[in-house]
Amino acid sequence: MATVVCRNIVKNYRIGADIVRALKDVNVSFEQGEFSAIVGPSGSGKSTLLNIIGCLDKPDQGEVKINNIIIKDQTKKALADIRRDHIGFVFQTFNLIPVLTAFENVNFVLSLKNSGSAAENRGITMKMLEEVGLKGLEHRKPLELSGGQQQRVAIARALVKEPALVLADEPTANLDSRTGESIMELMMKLNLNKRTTFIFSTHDKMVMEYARRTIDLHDGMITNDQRKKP
Amino acid sequence: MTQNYIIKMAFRNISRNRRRTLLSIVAIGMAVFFTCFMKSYITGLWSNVKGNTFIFETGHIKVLNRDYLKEEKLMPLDLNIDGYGKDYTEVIGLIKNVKGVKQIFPRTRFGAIINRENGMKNVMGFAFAPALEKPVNSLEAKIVEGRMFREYSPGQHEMVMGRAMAAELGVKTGDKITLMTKTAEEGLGHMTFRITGLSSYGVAVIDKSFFFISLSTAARFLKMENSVMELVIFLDDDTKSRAVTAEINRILNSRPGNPYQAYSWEEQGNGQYYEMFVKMSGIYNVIFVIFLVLASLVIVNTVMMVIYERMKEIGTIAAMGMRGSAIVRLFFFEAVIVSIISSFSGTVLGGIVSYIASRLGINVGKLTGGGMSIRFSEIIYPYIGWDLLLFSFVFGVVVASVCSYIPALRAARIEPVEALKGVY
Repeated sequence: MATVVCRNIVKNYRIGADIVRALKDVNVSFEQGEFSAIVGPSGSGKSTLLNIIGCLDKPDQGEVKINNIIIKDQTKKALADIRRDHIGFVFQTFNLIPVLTAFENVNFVLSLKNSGSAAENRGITMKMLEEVGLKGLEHRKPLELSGGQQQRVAIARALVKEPALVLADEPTANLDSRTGESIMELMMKLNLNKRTTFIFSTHDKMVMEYARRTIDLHDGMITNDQRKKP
Repeated sequence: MTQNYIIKMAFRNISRNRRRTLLSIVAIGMAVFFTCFMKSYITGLWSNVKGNTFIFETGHIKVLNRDYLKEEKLMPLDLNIDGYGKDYTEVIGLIKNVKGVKQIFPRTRFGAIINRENGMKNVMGFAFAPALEKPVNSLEAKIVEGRMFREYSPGQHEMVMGRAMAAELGVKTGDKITLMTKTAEEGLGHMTFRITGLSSYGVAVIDKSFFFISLSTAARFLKMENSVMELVIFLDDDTKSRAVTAEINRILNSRPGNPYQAYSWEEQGNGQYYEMFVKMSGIYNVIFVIFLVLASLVIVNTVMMVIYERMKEIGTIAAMGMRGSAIVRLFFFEAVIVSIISSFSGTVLGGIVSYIASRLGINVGKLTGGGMSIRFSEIIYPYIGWDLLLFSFVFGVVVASVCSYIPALRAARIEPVEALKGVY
C-alpha cells in the first residue's frame, strides 16, 4: 500500500507582482518502508513538496493522500491530528523545544497523542532514546547536547509515535560529515526495523548514497525517479 | 497529559529569556502601578471635591427658609430659620429622627465688609457650632496659628480667620478687626473681633475669604437671636438624599404655615453641583479609559513580542500535531503567570506610593500656581484601601490575560509552514 500519493500537484507563490511556480504538476507515490531522497538544487521545490506531503502547506491544485486519507478540504484541526498520528518530522535545524529536556522533547509528542498511561509513555520514550543512542543524556536540555545528539533527539521524537511516514528536510545539512553519516545510518536502521517510510530532501551526495530511491526535482518538476537495485 | 506539558513549558519559558520576561513584568507592572496610583489619586481628588462641596456648600441636604432662595444673592438674613415661635431647635427636633439622618448642623453664612485704608474687602462669615460639627468639619484641626475662638467670650468677640485672608489684610493673631454687615433687621451692624487663630483648609476660596465665629456671636452681630440661616444635614448614605429630602419635606409641611423646605444636594444651586459632579466623573472616566487602553496596548505588544520571538517554535509544535487551541493555552497560561507576577509587583509598588501620598498629600496648589477657585483643596490626599489594591491586581491580571489572548489566538492561526520559516 502506498503511504503517500501525490497527484498533479501544483503550487505557486506570489512574490510581489511575480508568481513563482514552485511545483508543476508533480505526480509521485511512496510505498510503505521506502527510504527515499528528493534531490535538487536550492529553489527546485524540494521543501515545498515535503511541506505539502507533511500537511504543513496546501497545494493550489492536485490531491495528496496520506495513508489513504485525502488531505484536500481537511480542517486545520484535522490536519493537526493527521500530523500528530501519521507523520514525524526531522528538521535541518533540529527544532527541539529548548525548555524541555531530551526526554521531554520526545515524551511530549506521545502526550499529544494522549494514548497510553504516563508510565507506559515513559517506558516507550526511554526505549526510543536508547535506540538512538542517547541513554544517559535524557535529562539534558538541547543546548547541552551536540548537533548530532540534538538530531538524534529529533529522530527519536519523530519516530516515538510510530508514524507511517517520516519527513526529513535536509537532516544532515547542519552536521559534520561523520555525524551526518551516523545519523543516516541510524535512520536507515530504524527504517529497516520499523518499516517506516522515510522521505528526505537533500543535495548532499552522501545522503543520496544511503537512499534506496532518488527523485530528482528541477524547477518544480520531477526529472528523474530512480530506485536502487536491492 | 498535554496540559501538564503546557504548564511545564509555560513556567520554563518565563525563566528562559530573563531579560525579556523582566521587560514584560516591568511593562505590565508599570501599567498596573500607574493604574493603581491614578485610581488612588482620582478617588482622593473626587472625594476631596465632593467632601469640600458637602461641608462648605450643600451638606447632603439643606433646610432653608423657602423664600431665601428667591433672594439668595443678597443673602437676606431676615429669611432665616427661627422655628415655629420659639427657636430653630424646633425644626431640628422635627427632623432629627428621620431615618437616614446622621447629623444636623445649624449654620449662618453671611456677607461682611472690612474697611481698609485702600478700600473695602468683601468677606464671608461662617457661624457654626464647632463642637457639634467636629466629626465632619473640625476647624480646630485646621488652625495653623493661635487657638480656636471661644463660643461664649463675655466682653469680647472672637474669630478665626483664613490665613491667606490675614496675610492679605496684614493682620495677625491677637489683632482686632472691625467688620460691618447688614443685620437681620435690615440695619447696619458693626462689631470688633479679636483674631484668636488663623486657619488653613488648603482651599483657596475658603482661606482667602472666610472667617469663622460662634453662632452666639453671630446672633449678636447679625441681630438674629434664636435663629440661623440654614440647617445642614448629613446622612448615613449621601445617595439617599432625594428620598430623605422628600420625607423631611413631608414632615415639615405637616406643620400649618410651614415656611421651611429641605433641598437635596443634587437640586441645590439649580443643580449646578450635581452637574459638576457628573461632568467631573465623566472626565475622570474618560481619562481612566484612555489609560486602560494605553496599558492594554503595552500588554498586547509585550505578548506579541514573545510570539514573534518563538515563531519557529510555534511552527514546530504545530508540525508535531499540537492543535491551535493548545497553542493558545500555552501562550495564554504563560501570559497569566507573567501577569500575576507583574500585577502583584505593580500593585505593591502602587500601594506603597499611594499610601505615602495619602499620608503626605500632593500639593496641587504648587502645580497650578494656587489659582484654583473651585472647591479643590490645594493638597490632595490620594485614597488608599484594600478595594483599590484588589482592583489594581485584578485589573492587571484580567487585562493582561485578555490582551494576551488576542495575540495567542493569532499565533494559533499562523500556518505552520509560515511559522517554521519564521517569516510571518
